[in-house]
Amino acid sequence: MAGDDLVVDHLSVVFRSRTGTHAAVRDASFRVGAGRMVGLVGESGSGKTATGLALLGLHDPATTTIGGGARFGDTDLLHLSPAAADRLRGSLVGMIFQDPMTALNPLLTIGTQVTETIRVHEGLDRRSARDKAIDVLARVGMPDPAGRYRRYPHELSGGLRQRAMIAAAIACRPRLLVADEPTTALDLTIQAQILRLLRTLCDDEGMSVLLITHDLGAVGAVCDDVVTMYAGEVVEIGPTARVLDRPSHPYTSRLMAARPRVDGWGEQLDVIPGRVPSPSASPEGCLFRPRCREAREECAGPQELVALGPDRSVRCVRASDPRDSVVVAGAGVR
Amino acid sequence: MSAPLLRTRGLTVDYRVGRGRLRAVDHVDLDLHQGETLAVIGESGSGKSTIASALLRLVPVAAGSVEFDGLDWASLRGAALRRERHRMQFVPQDAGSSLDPRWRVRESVAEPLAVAGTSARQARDRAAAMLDRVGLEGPLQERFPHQLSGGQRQRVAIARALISKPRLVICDEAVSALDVSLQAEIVNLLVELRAERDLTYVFITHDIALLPYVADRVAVLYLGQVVESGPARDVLVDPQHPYTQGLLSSLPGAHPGGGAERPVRGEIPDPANPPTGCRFHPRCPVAVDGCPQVEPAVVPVSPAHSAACHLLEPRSATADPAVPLPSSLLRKARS
Repeated sequence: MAGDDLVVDHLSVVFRSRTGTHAAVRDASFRVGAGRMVGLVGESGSGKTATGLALLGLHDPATTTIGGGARFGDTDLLHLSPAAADRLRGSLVGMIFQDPMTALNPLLTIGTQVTETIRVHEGLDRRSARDKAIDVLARVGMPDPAGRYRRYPHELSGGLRQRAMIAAAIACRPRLLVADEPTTALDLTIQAQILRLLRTLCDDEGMSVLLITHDLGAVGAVCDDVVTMYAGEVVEIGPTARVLDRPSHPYTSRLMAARPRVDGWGEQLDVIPGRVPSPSASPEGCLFRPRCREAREECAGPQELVALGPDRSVRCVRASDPRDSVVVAGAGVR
Repeated sequence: MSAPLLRTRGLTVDYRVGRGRLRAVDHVDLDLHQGETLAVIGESGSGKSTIASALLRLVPVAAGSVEFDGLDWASLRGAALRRERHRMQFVPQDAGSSLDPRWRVRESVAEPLAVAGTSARQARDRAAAMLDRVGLEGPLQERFPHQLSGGQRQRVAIARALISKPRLVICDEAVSALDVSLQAEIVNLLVELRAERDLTYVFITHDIALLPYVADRVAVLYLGQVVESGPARDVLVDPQHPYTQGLLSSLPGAHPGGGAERPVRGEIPDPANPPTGCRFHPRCPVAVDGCPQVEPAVVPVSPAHSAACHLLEPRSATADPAVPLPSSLLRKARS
């Protein structure tokens, strides 16, 4: 069903403030196939979260200009009336956030918050909505779902709160879930459990997931495809196994190298020198150039996202240059 | 070998909860030599931060001894404690909430010197030099905490900890809130400073993947008890306790296939009401009959490496003879 893909097409997100305009996302294009899990990775300031919020229509129109397009199947996600956007959020597209403590209402029980979604979208009566909510809590692996239904967010651990937020987000079986750093604040043990839960929802229910994270390890563990963003631009797209095995963009490979490894004895962690440029700067050429070890003269010119194969593209002169045979498409296939 | 810089024996910390009592740290023995880093790992609720608070004398020690830098550290009180506190300093997870928001960061770094009686001018110069050393230079030193990024604030916290020339620095999840690249920068800085200033660290983290870069020794904590300890490399390469094995399996990318092999299931139980017997048994993938009844003893695996698990135990000396010995059961199951 090709109609169920999320297609992000030349998306731009520009914030306006008294000090000027700040392009948080520039010309971003990528696709999340139906039932696939795609990791959107980059450091803070790379534009990942701004992209996710734009897909859900959650930016303030008074201060934000959104350009380009984003469609899910036949639905245009960007040009919706507020009422239409409300109808879609929860039923077609769901979102979960890094910190369930701030995303959940502290004054309402877990049950009320999961039930609310169901009642708003499906118009069920109180009792059937309750039964359905308990089912959903069980589906996300909440121990003692009927008991937890009556609990308040502060009475649950971080991991269980995250499960509750996932339950509220998937209660009406959205076809796309945007998960913004859903495991960053959690213990590794609980991180692994939540990532596996998202993967299961993807596999069993055919839901597509856009996993926004700075952790390539999480992407490697569960995602089918990866999209790397840097300073608001998409710099690399490809199947996870191949990108992580042999990244084509120097930024992706530096992100990989900066990760600690359990077998890194006697080594030093690899640092990416410098910082992500501010979104108010509008440099020419490759934005990663000032931090790149492999930068050369051509990098100062305009950079296009170049297809290296049917499912792989990269924004780097080096990758599409035949002289750099190491990074030719497909070379990393195991 | 010389005496350890830090040695705890039976370190125990209780919190009062309503009318009851919560034992957050339960008879913990730690040894740490000058110039080494001891990593303390475990999940939220394992008691990691309580150990830090107890060592820093911020919460009362209910039982046990702490020897530190030749002092009977746990018995120091009042003026004597205040005089010696500079020997042990602290780097928190979130420097944003531990620095005074109304002070310029250089003033915050100079404060411990001012308290110790250094002249204002000298304190100011030394703070500036220390901030230079941790990579926060020039006008950045005159900023307020909210004007700095998370990584820069972490540098301020390190400068503030080191300004009073401590022997021991406790880093409590000091890099956990940072992006991978920033995390790498701060870890590398801590490692450099350790060598340069002959420092000793207690490095508290839930991220076991950081251990190869920082740790000499490691103590794995579960519900207030050390379940495995030893040289970091031995513990990571050949983990003995099922909990340590599970922590390693929970690492994303720990297995080339992508999925985790035997990750820890469920959540850490309420420390106010810990399970009987081996506290890990409800989550343990290899628990056998007897684990819920009998608390395992610490078994040496090698002279420096030990773990508390019945499956390692040849014979449980404390077991009630009426309760079948788990290891004998295991042997039966195998045969």
